[in-house]
Amino acid sequence: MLTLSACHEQSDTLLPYDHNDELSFGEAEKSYAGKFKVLWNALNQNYSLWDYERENGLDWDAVYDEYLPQFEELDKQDDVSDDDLEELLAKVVAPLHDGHMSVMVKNHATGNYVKAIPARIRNLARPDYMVSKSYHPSLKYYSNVENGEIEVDEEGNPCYMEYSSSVEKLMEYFTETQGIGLQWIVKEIDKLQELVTPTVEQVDRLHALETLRKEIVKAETNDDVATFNALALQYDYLGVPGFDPIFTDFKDFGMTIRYALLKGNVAYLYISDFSLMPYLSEEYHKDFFAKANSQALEQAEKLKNVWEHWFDDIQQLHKNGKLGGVIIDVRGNGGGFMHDFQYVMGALLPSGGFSFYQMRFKRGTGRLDYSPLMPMVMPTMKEAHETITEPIAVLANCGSVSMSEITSLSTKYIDNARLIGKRTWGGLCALSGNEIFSYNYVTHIGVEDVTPVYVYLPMVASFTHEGKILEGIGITPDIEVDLDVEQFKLTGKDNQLDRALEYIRTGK
Amino acid sequence: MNKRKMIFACAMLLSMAAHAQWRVGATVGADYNVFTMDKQYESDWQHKGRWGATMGISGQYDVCNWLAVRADLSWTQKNRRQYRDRIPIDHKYYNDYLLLPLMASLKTGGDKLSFFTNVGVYGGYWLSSHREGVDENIFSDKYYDFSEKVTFDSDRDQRWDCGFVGGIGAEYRFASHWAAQVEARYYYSTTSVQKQYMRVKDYRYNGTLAIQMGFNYIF
Repeated sequence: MLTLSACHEQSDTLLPYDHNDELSFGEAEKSYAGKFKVLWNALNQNYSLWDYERENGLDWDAVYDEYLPQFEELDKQDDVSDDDLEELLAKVVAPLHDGHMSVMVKNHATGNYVKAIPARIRNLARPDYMVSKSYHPSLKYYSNVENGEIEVDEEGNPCYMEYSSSVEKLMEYFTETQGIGLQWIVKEIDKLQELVTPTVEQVDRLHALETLRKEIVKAETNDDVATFNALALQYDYLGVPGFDPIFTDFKDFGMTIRYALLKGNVAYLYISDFSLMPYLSEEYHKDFFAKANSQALEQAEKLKNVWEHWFDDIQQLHKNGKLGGVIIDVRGNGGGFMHDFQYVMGALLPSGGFSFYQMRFKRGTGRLDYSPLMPMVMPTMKEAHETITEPIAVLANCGSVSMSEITSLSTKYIDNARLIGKRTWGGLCALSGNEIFSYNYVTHIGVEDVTPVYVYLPMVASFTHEGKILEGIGITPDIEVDLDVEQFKLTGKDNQLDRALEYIRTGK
Repeated sequence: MNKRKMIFACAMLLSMAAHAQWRVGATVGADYNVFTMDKQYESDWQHKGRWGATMGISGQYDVCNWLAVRADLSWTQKNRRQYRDRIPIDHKYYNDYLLLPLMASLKTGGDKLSFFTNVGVYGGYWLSSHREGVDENIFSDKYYDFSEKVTFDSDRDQRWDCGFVGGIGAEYRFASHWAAQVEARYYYSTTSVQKQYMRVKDYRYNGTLAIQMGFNYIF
């Protein structure tokens, strides 16, 4: 009697889209309408912000009714260009507010994938978007002692450190540093060319060095670390100083870190990415660097050293009552590991974690099936340390995404912290980097470069402590400052940084 | 209609009128609600029934000694539980309904002890919902105990409920105006608790077995 079903309607049958499956993706291989149906259904079941989209006026069913016929029309055409497919795809996903999501659909007519990123479409309309793309924070002006902006050590050297483990920077270092790498090769070529009667070995060596020079320039231009590493092995016999293979995992977690102690003992930290954990966490270091060579370990140590100076100086200055304040620069920082919080803002806060926002997971296949709101406890530094009570400024802009936004959001809940710069990107929903991680049946949709539809999809919705969703909006600064791009490019003076210094020094 | 049939019908009506009497009562009991839905490919989600409480008042008009019309007004819980096998996620729902069953009651037996069967339809309204349990926020590696009111979503939640109701029970008449009853009653909801708010159809139903006892005052 309890299981009577005579008067019960049957639900539609749904398919999973978290792995490559013929049943789920078969129709999408050769049909544009099939691709659209996969995308629509997969998002319908897995996207985490449907109630928010509804508040913003989106009717997802109406999207189906409007766009399915247009994709069916594509099926009737003999030749569908990538541009046509991309344009239509962009229209479908543009209203969605998730700031991380990117959608890739394979055009079976050309064999190419076309991509649509809703957040990029949205942010392109922001005047500060192109500004944020046009520069990287730099301390060239401030690290110059003559400009009087930086503290100096006992020997008169600026208190400034920088290191980068990013593949681009490591290759750049190899090609631009005098005495090693490409510059050494160039000089060696010059020397050999000057020889009037070179030996056969010298001719061969000259030829090899010239070939290598061209190949290196090509590899650096394309950021092609695999080719660079192959060249390092192939031409090892030439004895080029500093020509060691680059640790390929730096492609994923290579980063730039910069520390400067600015006038008034203001400890400035710039990080290009939130990838500190592999370098700083003893627990994770072994895993991340398991296959690293000694050079990579040395590079990791150098990067760690910069962070340690920043942290140690803050601690020491605070203990001595001399710390002016702290600036954390996440402008242009695309995010990274959430556990990095403990090494940045969390290094200034008491141990035990800091909870200032909430998360809600998708639970079930229904569009409005969600978990309860759960507090997100961001890790703070476990080891004994001083809590920083001096002013803290976080610099952010439209290029500050994900963990940069979480860091920016934290300033709203820390009395002595302010967010300065421009509104952030608008992507706070977390996601798993693991494509086969189907913990909640929700992860990436499809498999990148394998299934005809692939979606890089967050698995949760993030809410502020007060229960507000900021996806697609971002974190609004307490002190809004447009970057004076012209001044920055001409002189290196950074008026956003200047404003942060003003806040630190005046409290206003 | 011929004369003989007319006389028979009048005799029946007079006979019923002779037995007609009103009764009012109160019921209390426990119920076990089973929630059914298609969990699709989410194979380790488990949907289990849960016990709840029910209580109400009833009115009955005895048309004759074997037939009555009965209406109840009850507060009935339709609780349920959903959890996952592989992950410690466990949600327990408490759903409060106001139910109004309208039934024909067929009776057999003696003057003291009798047995009855109720058959009818019911209408109801979902008054409130509360959920509690544990969920996991994997990003902070913490399990989270929660207990919260569920806010109804007017697009998603179907608060009106209707369906069929049937039950069997026994009555003991321990005084001239008083009777005690025990009854097992099943509410078969034909209304999905979820509105079809998506073009993808997703039906979810409650089925509730109530074990209740009550006392009637017979006028």
